[in-house]
Amino acid sequence: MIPKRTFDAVIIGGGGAGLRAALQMAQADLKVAVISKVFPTRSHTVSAQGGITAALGNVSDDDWHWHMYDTVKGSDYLGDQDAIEFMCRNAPTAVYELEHMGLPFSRLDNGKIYQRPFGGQSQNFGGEQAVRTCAAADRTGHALLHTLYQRNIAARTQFFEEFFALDLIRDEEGYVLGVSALEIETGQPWLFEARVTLLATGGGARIFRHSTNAHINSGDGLGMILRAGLPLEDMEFWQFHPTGIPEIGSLITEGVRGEGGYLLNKDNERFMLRYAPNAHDLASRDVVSRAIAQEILAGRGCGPHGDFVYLKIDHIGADKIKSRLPGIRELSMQFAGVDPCEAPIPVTPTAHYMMGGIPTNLHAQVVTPERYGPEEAVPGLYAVGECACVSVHGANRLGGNSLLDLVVFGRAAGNHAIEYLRENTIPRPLPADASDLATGRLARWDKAKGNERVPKLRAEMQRILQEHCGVYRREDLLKEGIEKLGQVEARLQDAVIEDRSKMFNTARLEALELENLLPIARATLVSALARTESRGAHSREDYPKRDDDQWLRHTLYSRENDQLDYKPVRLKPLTVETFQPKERTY
Amino acid sequence: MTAELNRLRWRCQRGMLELDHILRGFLDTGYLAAPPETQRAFESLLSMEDADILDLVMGRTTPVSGELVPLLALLQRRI
Repeated sequence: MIPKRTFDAVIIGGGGAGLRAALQMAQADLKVAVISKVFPTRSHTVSAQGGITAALGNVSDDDWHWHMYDTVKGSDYLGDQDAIEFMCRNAPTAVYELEHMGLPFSRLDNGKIYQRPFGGQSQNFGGEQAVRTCAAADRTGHALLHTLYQRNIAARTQFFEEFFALDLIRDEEGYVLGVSALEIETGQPWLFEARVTLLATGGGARIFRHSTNAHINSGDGLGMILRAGLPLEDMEFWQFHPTGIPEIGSLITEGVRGEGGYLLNKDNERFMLRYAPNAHDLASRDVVSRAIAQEILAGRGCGPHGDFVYLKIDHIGADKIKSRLPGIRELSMQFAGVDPCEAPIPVTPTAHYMMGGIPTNLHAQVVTPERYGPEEAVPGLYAVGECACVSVHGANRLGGNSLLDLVVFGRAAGNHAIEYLRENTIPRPLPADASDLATGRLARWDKAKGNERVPKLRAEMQRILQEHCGVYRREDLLKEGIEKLGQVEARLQDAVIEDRSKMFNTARLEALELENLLPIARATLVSALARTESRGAHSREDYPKRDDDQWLRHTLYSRENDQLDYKPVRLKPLTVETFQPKERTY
Repeated sequence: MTAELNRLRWRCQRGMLELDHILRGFLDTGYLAAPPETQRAFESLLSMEDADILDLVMGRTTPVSGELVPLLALLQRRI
């Protein structure tokens, strides 16, 4: 048996979701460990520049019920309406809580929290543009992480930085009892025993070649879930952010369009007027991404290869750009070689956010179809943030709702875990084979023989997903993608790492990450092939219409034999009337 | 040296994609040829917060420590 540490709760991932959940539990005097493969304040949450959405009504009239309507509509009616009501109702409280913790929100002249308009936000159930996204300049994610990290230090959360989580420990009755992890500095594997295990490992958009995600986003928690025999939900739904800088992937926030920017094709046409007659350039992200992809496919893209469009913002004036969007101006100048005060920024749809993930309920408990129904809680296991699918984003996430998801459900997970720990005071014995899966994986890479290399296989997987499962999908393309991915998976058996050292062995870490990414890629392709409709971010050329009769349901993918199950969308909110599915227009 | 380079390589893994490009790019193609004081400055830069590194590399802020200046010039040329 490998060495062991024992806690009440172990949290895997030091981003906004993990830190918010950890704080709730640590403030209840529980012994909490956060395991993170990088220093927590270097988590991907730092990249969330735009802001956090809450119906505060500081700039325009607003109401949480309008926010709920927008989120249900934005999700293309695939979001669970009870979870969406829970999130939108709790949003103002969550934001004020962050304010009281010391998050330095930008301010209006009257001293209230500054809010900016984002795509998909409306007043009065689809009326005028709402102004709902609270921001700390263009550093909201950074400010959130720092605030939560400092609060966790004060609450004596223990941080295990540069530890790479390997696998869940589960006993025969299905209880999750902790996690195995690799200490990156020494190469030593550890067991972290805990009555509560919470996954907050972020998304996995590095399965795509063009992605806005940092390289650390390898979907580690999802890989752990699939290896534990549990399912993933709605993995066909990946948001392509409409405005990434070509090749680099760097994201130009929706805030640019919120401040008055608009898109142009090569004919200098403001084409969003055709695709979204009301919302124009502030239509929902999937609508804008598809519009750009259509323009490019129709030969109206810009540049020598016609593979991007332009985002124009210079008309609002250099002073406004410099004061309200300083970070974006610098990014554009450095990575696209364009000063947006003088010229438009080249942009193209880029994989950005995973709407699917680990199925959870309102308390962030991981749920799975078992004996008594499709949503039975896995005892001791929680998931929050982008790795989880609660599902508030459904088929398409609205900008500003991701940070909100982290804090609302991070807090809810913490509260439920506190109750669970009170009811489960005695640790269950660890199974004799608790470390076998992890040590087996490590030994495989230490002893591997063959001619294949991890970076090459990763690049091939990313190319396959980009070409076969991008903004537009089609049956023959998806089938071919599954076949090609199968070849990459087979070649992984012959993959070796040349560096067998223990300390900071990055080659081994990249291999372990690829073992997480590949099954996510497969889950994505298989789920996308089966869903014969177009909904939200999932656009099938061969099935262009949404099909509520057949497909108003969630996909559940399990690794064994690529099994697919389905469960109904929760259309009944907690206290208000159902928003019945309607055609989505902007 | 391998372990040392590996340690730096892992610390180039950041929360911001832009920094992954900039920092890993320099480590892989410029670090070994750089003078020792620039290598030390790189290590010191890696210990900083993502948003602060990006501000420095983008030229939005000026470094408190003068030893970062030649390194930043190198990183800015590489973008």
